[in-house]
Amino acid sequence: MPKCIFNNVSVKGISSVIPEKELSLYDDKNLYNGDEKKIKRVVNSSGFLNRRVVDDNTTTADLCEQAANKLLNDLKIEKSTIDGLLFISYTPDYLMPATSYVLHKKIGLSENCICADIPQACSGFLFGLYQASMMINSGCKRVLVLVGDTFSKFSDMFIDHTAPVFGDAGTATLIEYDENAEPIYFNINSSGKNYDALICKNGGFRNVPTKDNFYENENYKYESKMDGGRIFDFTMNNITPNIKELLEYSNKNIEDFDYYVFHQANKFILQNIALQLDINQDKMPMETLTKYGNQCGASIPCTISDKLQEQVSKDNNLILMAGFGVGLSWISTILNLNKIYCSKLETYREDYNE
Amino acid sequence: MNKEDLLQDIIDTIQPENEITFDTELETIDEWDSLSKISISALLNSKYKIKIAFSELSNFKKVEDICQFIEDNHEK
Repeated sequence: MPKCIFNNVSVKGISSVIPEKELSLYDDKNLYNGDEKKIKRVVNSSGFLNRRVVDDNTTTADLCEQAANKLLNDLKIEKSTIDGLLFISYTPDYLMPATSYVLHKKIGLSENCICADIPQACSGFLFGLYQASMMINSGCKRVLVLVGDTFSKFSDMFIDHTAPVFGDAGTATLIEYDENAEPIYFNINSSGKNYDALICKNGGFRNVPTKDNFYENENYKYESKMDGGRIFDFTMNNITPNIKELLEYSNKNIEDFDYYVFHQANKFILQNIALQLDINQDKMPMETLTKYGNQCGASIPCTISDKLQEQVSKDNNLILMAGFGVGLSWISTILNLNKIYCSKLETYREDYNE
Repeated sequence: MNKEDLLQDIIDTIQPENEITFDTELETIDEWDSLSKISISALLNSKYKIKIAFSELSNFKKVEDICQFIEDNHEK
């Protein structure tokens, strides 16, 4: 069953928001004691350079709220017509209730609405599209998919803590019932045996927060671990076969697409997938990770806002997408973005949501 | 395949501060860290179409071992 097709589902708009504060690897005094030559080596090989981070008082929900308000205002959507709200993130506001309910209030949606949180990171946008497609096919007319993360609040995770690479972002995507929509295809895989390859162990109910495991120098710390080597091997071995299966299932060829928008994990992974599949790299944006960091689930919509805003606003584009990461989870998707509303990457403003 | 070219590819990938030769022990190279190992794995995969797991890279002792591995596995 991992492969499936949905009809009557259409993406109407995408809006993406990033925090104002920019950090560069060169400004990080903890990284190789600020040794520029060594940092240059990380920048050259991984593709990471700058990233945007929130302040202590801003959460993923705040970024997503602005993205949702902008999307609904610019599209002139009557809020009472939204009958589904999904919040996809590993950085919720609270352990209870689900952040989708908090956002349901803040955005001002009606009680005729299904709310749900889905914990997903780098596959999050595509997982959200999949879930929204199911909701549309079971009777919903308009589903708002909010995807974002603020991984800057976790401890540094890139390959044995080599460098901080995660950038914060929040996005909103509107999915609608549309009889004329072209089909959307998904291929979804999961590997629970690798659940500990990328993990934040403390703070849930298995390891409750204590002074020892949660505080460092009086500051809270969500200690996270990423087994960079294992994840790299996993992506090298699994993403390409998943995409090939989807191409076969959808009866499409790799050269059929206008664009290839993949999760902005790092430069090695993106270039290797492109080489393995013989993808024209001119049609595969890779600069977003250098400008804004690895934005987890928000990286695909942010890349569209950053690089393809004009194209998806003016034309019908057939796009191949892939997301992969925490879980471990990996998903590929084929969909059309046909003259949709798409914002540029907006900067978060505290007063926007008031 | 020219061994000197392979060495140059490895140098370009690891970007070591000090000179390295075929005989250099990998563990003595400051830059032989997880970033370099991933970069080498990516190089083998993309340029030489050789798949190697990240964990297997720890089996190499000298720079020459990587060159030998590429020679042995290229185009097979």
